[in-house]
Amino acid sequence: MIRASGLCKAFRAVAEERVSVLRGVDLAVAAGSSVAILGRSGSGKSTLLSILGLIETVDGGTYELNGKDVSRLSDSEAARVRGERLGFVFQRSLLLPHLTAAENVEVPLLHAGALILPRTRRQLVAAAMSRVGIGHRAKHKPSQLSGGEQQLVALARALVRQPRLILADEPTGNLDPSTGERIVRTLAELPSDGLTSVVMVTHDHELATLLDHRYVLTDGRLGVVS
Amino acid sequence: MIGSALGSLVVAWQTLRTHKLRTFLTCLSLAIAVLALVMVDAASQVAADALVAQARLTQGLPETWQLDVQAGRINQDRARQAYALTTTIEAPLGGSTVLLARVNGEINGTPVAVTAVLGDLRSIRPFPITSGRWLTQGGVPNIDAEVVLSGGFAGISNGDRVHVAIPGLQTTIPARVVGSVDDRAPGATIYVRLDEILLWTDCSSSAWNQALLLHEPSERGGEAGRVLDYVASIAKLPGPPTRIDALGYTADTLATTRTIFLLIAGVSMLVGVLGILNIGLVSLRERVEEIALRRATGATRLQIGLSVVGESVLAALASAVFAVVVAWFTVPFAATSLFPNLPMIESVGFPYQTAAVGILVSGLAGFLGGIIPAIRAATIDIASIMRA
Repeated sequence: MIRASGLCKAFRAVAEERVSVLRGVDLAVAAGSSVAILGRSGSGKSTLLSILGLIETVDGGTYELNGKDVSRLSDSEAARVRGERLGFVFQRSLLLPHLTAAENVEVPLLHAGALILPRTRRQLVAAAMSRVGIGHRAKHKPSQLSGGEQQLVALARALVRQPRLILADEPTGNLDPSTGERIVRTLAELPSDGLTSVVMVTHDHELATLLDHRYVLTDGRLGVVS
Repeated sequence: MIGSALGSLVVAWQTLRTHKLRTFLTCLSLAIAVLALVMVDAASQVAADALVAQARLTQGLPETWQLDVQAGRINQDRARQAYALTTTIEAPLGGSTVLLARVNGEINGTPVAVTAVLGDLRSIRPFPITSGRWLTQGGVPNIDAEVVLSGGFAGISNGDRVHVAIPGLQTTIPARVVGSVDDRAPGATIYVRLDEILLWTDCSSSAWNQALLLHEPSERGGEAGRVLDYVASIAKLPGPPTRIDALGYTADTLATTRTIFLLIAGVSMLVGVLGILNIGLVSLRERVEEIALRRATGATRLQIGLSVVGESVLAALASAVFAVVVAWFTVPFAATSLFPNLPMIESVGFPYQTAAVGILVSGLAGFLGGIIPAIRAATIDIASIMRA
């Protein structure tokens, strides 16, 4: 599903000095599996996830998604791949406050490129919301939802185009422990269909144990957690 | 591509629907500009109709020419010969010929302008009849002359017998009021048949002022002057004939006025564009995260740009349609309020062409006002937003 090797990324800091965040990251994620990436703040976890999500470009290394090298895609090609194959869950739910929960979930469908009829969109939205158990809150605005419910809506938004890879960037960062655990358990169940993979960045070792594999990012390199 | 465009339009519509105040502010300036555009055009058309109507009554229909006849016995005879000749030439061609003889007189002791008419004056100056009827055309002249009134005549009504006094005539002419018209001329005027006046006087004194009028259908424009010139040479009357309708001048004046007002409406439209641009750029700062999210969920730069410019265009079109609807209801009311005393404006035409142009120009203004925010939105760096 994912095969990344030798991923390197550096950012320009003050006085033209470059700070290397990733120094040759190797990662393989099979279809139908879930992976947790642990690490301290500033270790580069989110940068790695942004690269896997085609939001950030790499300075070096290769990144294959379903056997195709996607590390050098054009901007519009990257957008198309993001829409078709990837789903994002961020630390903050990033729901659009002026839209209802269902309309938030519908957002990726409106950018699909191909024409999706309103009826089909409604069906896909309802299916995604039911899948994460938030269907009963479809007509509520984000301000009327709890933090956990907002994150579930964000998860439904990530799932609505039925992507094969879910990328979650500290999805429990703003939640209480029990709600956080509920979110991660929902994420961990997604690969049970044998097709969907999950990569979650977290600094919470306990929640990471709910996923199939755990890696830790230290000094720009990825190591297996024993 | 169609799917992308439709998706972007749905996003634009969602944004407009859910940001009502921002949408209202975006629409407001353009709605005012389009309303101004349509109203100015409608008002200029109504004003044109009003002024043209006025000119038709006081001067004559387009392509009306006049041949002045100097006072004197010989000239009066020649004038009537010229009338007969012109009628002979013009009648088969649809032209109207009228001989007017004017003098200042009195009716029941009240000063009036007396206009004696030979021919159908209302075919050249279509006065509306306000009561009774117009003068009988042809037939045997009556000793009791028919009189049609125009202007204020207190205490005189249709059917009344009156006495018309004319300078140089020892006696008064008995007359009977048959109707009244509104000729738009200042002061009081009476119209009588020239052949009935000629039973009492030959109209040759210096107090009389005669003129031969000729109107031709507009499709034969320019011929009337040449015909009168020819008639003047045959009848040995002094020329040259002059065109007396001022419709050409009126049209030029109206066109200038209309251009000035349309320029003002254009400036309003420009202000509307700047308003959209301003609101678009300000709101963009609030929407950086939303745009980054949309990009993360698969939106291309083109789709983001389309949705942002689509918002402006949709808002502009909606405001233009709203303004046109308001104008459609307002124009007749405004026209009758501005020109209450012009009976020729029976129905006020709505400027549909200008309304359509207003909607299109408003859409263009929305595009122009939205294009810069759209470009900025499309070029937002999502990686830096997501890192923040």
